[in-house]
Amino acid sequence: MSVVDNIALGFSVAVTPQNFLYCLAGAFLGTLVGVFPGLGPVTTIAMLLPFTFKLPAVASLIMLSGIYYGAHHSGSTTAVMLNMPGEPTSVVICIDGHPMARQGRAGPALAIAALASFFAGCVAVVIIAFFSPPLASVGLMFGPADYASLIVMALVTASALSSESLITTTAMAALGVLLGTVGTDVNSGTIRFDFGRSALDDGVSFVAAAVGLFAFADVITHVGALHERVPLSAKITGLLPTRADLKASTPAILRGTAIGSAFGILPGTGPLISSFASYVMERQLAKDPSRFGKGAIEGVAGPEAANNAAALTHFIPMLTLGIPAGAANALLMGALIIQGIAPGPLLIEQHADLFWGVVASMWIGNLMLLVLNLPLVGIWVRLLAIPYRVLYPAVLVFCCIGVYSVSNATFDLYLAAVFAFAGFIFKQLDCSPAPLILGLVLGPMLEENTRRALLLSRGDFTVFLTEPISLAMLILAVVLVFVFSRSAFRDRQARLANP
Amino acid sequence: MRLRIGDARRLTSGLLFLTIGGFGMIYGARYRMGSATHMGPGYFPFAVAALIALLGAVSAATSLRTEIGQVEGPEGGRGPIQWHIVPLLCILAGVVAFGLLIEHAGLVLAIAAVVILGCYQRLLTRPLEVLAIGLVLIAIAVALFIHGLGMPWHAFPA
Repeated sequence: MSVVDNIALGFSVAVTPQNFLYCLAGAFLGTLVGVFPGLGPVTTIAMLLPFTFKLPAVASLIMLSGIYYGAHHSGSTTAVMLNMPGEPTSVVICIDGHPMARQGRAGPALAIAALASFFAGCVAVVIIAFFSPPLASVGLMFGPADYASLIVMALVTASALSSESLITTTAMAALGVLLGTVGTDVNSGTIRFDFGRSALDDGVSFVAAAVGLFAFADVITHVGALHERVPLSAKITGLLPTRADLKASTPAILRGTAIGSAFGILPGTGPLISSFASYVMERQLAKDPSRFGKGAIEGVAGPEAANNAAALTHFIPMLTLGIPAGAANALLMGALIIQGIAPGPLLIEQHADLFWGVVASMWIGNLMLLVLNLPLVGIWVRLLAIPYRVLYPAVLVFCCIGVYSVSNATFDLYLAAVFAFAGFIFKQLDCSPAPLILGLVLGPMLEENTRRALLLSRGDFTVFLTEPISLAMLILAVVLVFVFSRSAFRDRQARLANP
Repeated sequence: MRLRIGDARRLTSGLLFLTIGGFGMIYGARYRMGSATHMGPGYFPFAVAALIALLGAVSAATSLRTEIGQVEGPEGGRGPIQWHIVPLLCILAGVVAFGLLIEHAGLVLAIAAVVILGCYQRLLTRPLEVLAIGLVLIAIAVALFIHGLGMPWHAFPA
């Protein structure tokens, strides 16, 4: 089937009234919940999970993706209006978005962010449509050694991209892999690390882990330091960007989309690095770099486009190889597995309606976001005025419900409490929990493939270096670590030079 | 010469990883190891735990080494570790209470427990606000999850 036929199939799935409604509901709810300060995509997905369980697989994935990109998009609203990144990826948007808001130009900043997101979304959907099938056929050629090295690369990249020390983040990823071995060993049937609790036989619930490490740990830290938030000083006066804004933003959006799409395909990267790279690039290319940090519109347009392009193109490695990028993506993949859909090279072939339906729905969803966000921006902004002390009890309640709803197991709530405690400690020790979640989701796959690879090579560890694809993955991992740790090093140097 | 801890966080997290890795190796030693060709259930977790312990040891050791050269503040610019003991305990207790109550006492009481424990600071100073938050959340949750989505949960004690 040609790409056109596939896209036609996708739209025929996505525009059925039911699926269209779920796409709309997902994008709307994702935006609504994600706009609240302190609620990033991970928390948003976890809170909204119960709404997707009872749906058929296609509708469920359509709605989950809607929640995912809706939450990614709305983070920028919080960043612009409050100078508060709702999620790490919008940190970059704060740098120039908030100064724009203080200059009374919040409207144009939000409008440009919405347009940048939409444009990047359209391009990303086309890239997904064209790149996924070839990548899936490459994935089919992967042997166990190749898969194991690919997973190692994804984990190492995710670790190298965090701002903390590489050793610490790698240890967090390894800890996730170790937690992933909890439960029944598929090869021998031995139950491992169950501490006498039969509730752990099926392994550690990653929803409980994600909610504990991200949502609950955040609430504990915020409530502990509870001071009333900065009042909403910026007002929205007009939405329309000026001609000069559009002229300055267009190349930034194009470049941001290119950067985001390129990084998005690499497993393990996560959208933060894309928006950061785009920001650095815009500042380098600007005729007058001193405007940056004081409300340069390119500093909003580029990173926002990069963020959304990466968030969507992450679906390529996730759906075709089963390798998620970043914590929110991992949670999304986990939700798919709960639904009985195993992402991997065979997904496109075996579930063509699902894959193409989701791709088409992403385009529709991004259009809906644009249509919804421009007129509704006033309502979103009013939501920001809700004080945190009113908001966080709702976060606690809906997260508890989300964790419990996965398998109606009270044990998962106790587990989430344990993870909340751990997450609080990790936060205090500057250990980012994102690599841990990725390790937890990828751990079982890593073990399975490592064991199979070594069985085939009769225990010869050099198999990871002699298989060409595997070697390429490992080399790529080393290169990425080198590049990213060096650029991080340079950043530190720069910060020392002019604080 | 006085010994100063250059990076207390790195040292603590390194020791934490060393402990976790060590525990994983000791606890995991009870599972059959097998060989690299025919790995038993214990092989892979033991290797990963050993890696965690190693990374922890390296991290802790390097944090000690940097301390000698470091002259600035003992916490590398950030304030000391903030414990937030009361919110930590109250919120953890809220989550656990939800788990204890949801099956038999029902959703309404489970949510009430989370809200009461979560809003511990305002229980006496702003009781009406806490009551309002609780009632609204209970109404939304019961309407959405029990009536809307048809989750097989009780609203009230069965």
